[in-house]
Amino acid sequence: MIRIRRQPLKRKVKNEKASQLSSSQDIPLSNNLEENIKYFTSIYQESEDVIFRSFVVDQTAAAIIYIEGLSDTQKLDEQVLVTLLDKSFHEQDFLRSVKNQLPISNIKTITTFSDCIDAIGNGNPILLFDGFEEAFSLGLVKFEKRSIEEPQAETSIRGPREGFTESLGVNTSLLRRIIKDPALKMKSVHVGKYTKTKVVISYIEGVVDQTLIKEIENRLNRIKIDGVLESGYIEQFIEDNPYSPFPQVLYTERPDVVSANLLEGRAVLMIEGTPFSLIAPVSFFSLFQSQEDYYERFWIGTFIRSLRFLFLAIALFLPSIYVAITTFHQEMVPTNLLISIASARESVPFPAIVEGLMMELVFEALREAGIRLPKQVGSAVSIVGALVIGQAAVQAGIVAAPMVIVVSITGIASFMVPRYSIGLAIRLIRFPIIILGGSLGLIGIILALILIIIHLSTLRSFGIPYLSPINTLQKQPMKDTLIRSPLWKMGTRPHLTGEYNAVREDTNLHPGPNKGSE
Amino acid sequence: MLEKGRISALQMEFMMVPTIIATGVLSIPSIAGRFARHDMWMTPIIGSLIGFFTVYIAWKLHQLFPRQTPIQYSEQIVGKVIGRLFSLFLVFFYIHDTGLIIRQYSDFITGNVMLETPAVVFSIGILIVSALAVRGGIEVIARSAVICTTLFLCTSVALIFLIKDLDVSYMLPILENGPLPVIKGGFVHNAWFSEFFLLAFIFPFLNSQNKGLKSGMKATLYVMLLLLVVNFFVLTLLGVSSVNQFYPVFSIVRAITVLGFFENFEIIITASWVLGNFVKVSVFLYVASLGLAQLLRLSDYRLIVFPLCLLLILLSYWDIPNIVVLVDYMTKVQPFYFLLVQTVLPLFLLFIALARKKRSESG
Amino acid sequence: MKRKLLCIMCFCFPLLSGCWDRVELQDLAIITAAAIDRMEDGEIQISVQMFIPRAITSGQTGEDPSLGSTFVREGKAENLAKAISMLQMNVPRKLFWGQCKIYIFGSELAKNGIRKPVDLLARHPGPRGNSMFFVSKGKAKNMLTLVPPLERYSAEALRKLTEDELGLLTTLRDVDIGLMGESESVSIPLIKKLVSKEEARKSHETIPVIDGMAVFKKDKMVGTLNQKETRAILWLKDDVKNSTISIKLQDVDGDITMTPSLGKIKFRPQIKGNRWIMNLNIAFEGDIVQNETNLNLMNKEVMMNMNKEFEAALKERVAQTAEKLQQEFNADVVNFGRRFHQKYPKEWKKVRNSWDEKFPEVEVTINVHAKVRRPGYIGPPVALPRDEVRE
Repeated sequence: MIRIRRQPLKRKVKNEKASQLSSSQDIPLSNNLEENIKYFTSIYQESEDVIFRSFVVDQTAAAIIYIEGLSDTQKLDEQVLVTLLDKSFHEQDFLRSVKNQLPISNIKTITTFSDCIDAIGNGNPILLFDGFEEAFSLGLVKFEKRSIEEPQAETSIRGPREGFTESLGVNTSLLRRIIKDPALKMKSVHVGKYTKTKVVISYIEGVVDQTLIKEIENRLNRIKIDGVLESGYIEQFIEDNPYSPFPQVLYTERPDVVSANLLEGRAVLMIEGTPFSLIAPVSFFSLFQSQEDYYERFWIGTFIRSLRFLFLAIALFLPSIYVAITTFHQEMVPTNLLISIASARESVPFPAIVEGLMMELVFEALREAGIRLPKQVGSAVSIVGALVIGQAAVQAGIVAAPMVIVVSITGIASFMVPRYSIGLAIRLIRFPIIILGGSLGLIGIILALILIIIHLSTLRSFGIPYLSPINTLQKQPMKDTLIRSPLWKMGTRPHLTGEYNAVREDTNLHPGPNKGSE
Repeated sequence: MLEKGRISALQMEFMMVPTIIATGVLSIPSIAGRFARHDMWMTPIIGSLIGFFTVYIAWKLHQLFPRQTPIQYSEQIVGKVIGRLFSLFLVFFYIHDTGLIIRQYSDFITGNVMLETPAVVFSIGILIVSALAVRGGIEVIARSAVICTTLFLCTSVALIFLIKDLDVSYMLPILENGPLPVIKGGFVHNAWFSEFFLLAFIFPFLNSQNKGLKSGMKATLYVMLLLLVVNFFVLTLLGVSSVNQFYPVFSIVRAITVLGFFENFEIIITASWVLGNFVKVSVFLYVASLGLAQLLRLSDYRLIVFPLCLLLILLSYWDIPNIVVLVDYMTKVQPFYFLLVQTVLPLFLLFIALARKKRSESG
Repeated sequence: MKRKLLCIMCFCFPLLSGCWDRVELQDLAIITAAAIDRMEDGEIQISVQMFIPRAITSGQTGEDPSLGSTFVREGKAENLAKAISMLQMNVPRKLFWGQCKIYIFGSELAKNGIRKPVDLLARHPGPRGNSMFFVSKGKAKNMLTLVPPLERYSAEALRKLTEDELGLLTTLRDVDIGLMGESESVSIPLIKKLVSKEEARKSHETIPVIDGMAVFKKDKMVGTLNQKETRAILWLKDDVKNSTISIKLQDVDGDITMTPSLGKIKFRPQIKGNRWIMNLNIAFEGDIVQNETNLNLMNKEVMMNMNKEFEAALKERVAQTAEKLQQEFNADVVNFGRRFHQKYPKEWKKVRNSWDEKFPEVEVTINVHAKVRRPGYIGPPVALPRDEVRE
């Protein structure tokens, strides 16, 4: 159902903070180490990987609680335990002197049970002392993670080959390496009752619109679910129009894409546990931009981008145009071609639309099967696909050769889209268009096109119309949509929401041989 | 104010151009040709004078009552009773006109492209789509109009392929029968050019309130140029036999061949024409439902869109029995009727409003 | 709940619409050419040539190639529309006119008047406005049964022949405009069967070829022009492509032939008192292609001399044909009337209804300007010893 709703950006700021933990409330730690340990033991009952180490520090009982595999046990041993067990500390200001003498770069003081449980869950060992109501959370997180490798879902010929990994710390560090200015802010929020996933909202202050950040925070705080496993969960909870097949948030694995969007004034959500980060707000045309358009020179960028739009049209409409023309408008086809198609279709028992839908479904099945395949079986499936469906079915007279050609070209065209999410949307929409084309001919296809255009016109992504900048048709923003203007001409940032900092670069940057001497 | 959206002047131009041309391009050449014969290519120039005039009237009225549609300010000008009567008349006029437009559209398609399908299928099709656009508000209409108009005009560029078949000598002798037939032919255009009064419903929603006049005039100019080009092509390709045909533009489009290979383009041109027609029906439907909602003091015009569509499907069937009567109506009745409602009556309103203003300023 | 119901209804809408216009390709009989004849009893017979789509996958089935890939069916009734419905009853698939580009009229029908069949062709949405018309010698149906050795079907061969020489191409639109316009006459190419004398081929394995033009006045055929006269008509219509002009010089044996590569004709109508004069200025230039004489074409005087001869040759050719059109047929197929109308609208108004009497009285003056650009690759005649070459 196409829900037509205009939702301008909410400008009121709600100062809610959702309660994040359903279990342990903000009970402060008690003085008594035994009580604390008993509380923790009861919570971590039947979890053998939570290690309790009790010892004595300078006549004070102490305990360290950590989760095996999440903390750096080597450093814990060598730096924490050694120091605590050997040295002696000031009697009066015990905690402060301990803190001063522990050679750990990140020590936080925590006072509530819930904070302790958070810390332990994140891999920071807790240091508890008898007689004190405060505990230390030691920043000794270390766990096995994937090394930085080339992102597999978004390869490019030219450009950095680093991709995000599942660890949030690594991701933010990759981002900091690219954008070094302190204006890059990283706000964090926790989402998910059991997963307590840390979500970092990152933006460049002074470039982004603050209302956007507030809106994102509001939407994140409204999420009350059990767990967040992937950025997709968050994406589906914060988008403007969940019924639309079109994605309203962009996801990417590449830090250079993220940085480019940050510099244009967008905000990024990095979620722990997944290399895919979300970028908002997004417009229809930014889903057709690939980072490589910008790294190569502008003729190639323009050409490839225009080619993408052409193939977008082909991917959406080619099967239905074929069905429509061969069943409704046969006079459009040149005579010789018509005779060839007629000869090819002579023996096929199905009407064109059934044939079309069948072939498309088979193609989709092939694609899905190809993703799930174990590597050894991969070649068998390609042989099956090519030989059986392509060759044998045509020879047996079940499908016509032109249909196979059409479906393959459509398949190739749908891979031209750089962002997988919108490729999925296109694959989906193709089927209703085939049905409409098969029932009303080319008029039906046009009606489908109009419906898509209307739907895109009503869609908004975090307040900006989905079809920006076409809806305003101003010269400057249009430089980056259908064509790619040279980098030295793109002087302003796209207008995303509210007030914005427009100027991106100096105006007089046209390169040339004699410019340097002026 | 029932409509909170705002559009830019450029979007308004994109909206208005297909609104006038979409059905005009179907039948104007044959009707104008009946009066003006060889000189029919000049007739849009005469007709556009009415267009400029109507835009000006709409603009002046808008300046007196910014952010208000004619339904709202007619009451302020001539008093409640007459104002509401006038609004009622105007709204019914637009509803009737929309019904006619849908009739022309479905007639054209069932007569030429899809011969077996009953016309109601196409009426329902385009009404559903337009209703969805109208319910989205004027911003949605404007945004989709921008894209649809671009596609519509781009495919119309295919007319260039006809240039090698042109025979300019069909234009001679110029003004053989004097200027009177040309004026008569131009008068027929009134029905379409006076539709620019729709601008009076769109001006209140412009972003920048002072660009309206220039954009309106620009839109009129574009419409005139396009109609001129179309008439010119029809004349030089078909000669005087264009008068005999109901849809001469369709005939010439049928003759396009590219490289001797791509023939029979008319389906593509028809398809892109449907895009232009969608914009026209959306704008008319929007004005009709907005007007009706304001007249009946409804809280939201969106509620009335679908019931109006139902009424329109019936209207498109009920009024005109067949195409011959339709062409007759367009030749003899429409120029006068449309001119009356969309130019003359607003002119009276304008005079009365100006007179009142002067009186209140001096008194 | 209501919204869901609406959704479901909308979704079913295209599926239930029944697709009235949907015709599968297998259910279409693609017509490639149509022939309209008038039979002895006054009835109209329409024969259509339909294409047989052979499944490519069936491969070589060893069928007789002389049967060709088309077949012919006919329908007969008192008028064309009824004849077409009779025809549809004989054909199991739906007749599809969208690809039919060739309509052939039999000579009997042409003599009797083509307006009535042409009305159906113009009014019916199926036939297209730029389809080509022909008149055949004898029965038109015989043209359809021919099987060309080179093309797929005879209509294709005919179409290619006509497209080469565009001046001969007469479309439905041309006929409509021509018969409706000032001159009320039109010319349509005449076709006949090319008799093939190859021994390996059967007699029907040949193509129809263009053999002149049929002249129509007020929709009846009043006469034919042979090949030579047709060339002249093409000159008058400013549509010449392939043509050759030969001249014979005095005291010299043999012809010199040239092909014009650039030809332009300008019409200048003039009215002097009661005399109506049409001045034709023809300018053309070309290259010599054959020299049968023993003159050396590298010689400047020879070339200059030839220009005059070529001009005279063309002038005579055009004058002959123009006279034939005026006196014998009284059919203004080259649109003199329109040109007078364009230049002298007031005088034209007076004679408009009596153009039939005025047309033969129009004096035609022809002015030719020829320029032989090149003598070809070689100058003197080939294979002739030097002393026999005359300068």
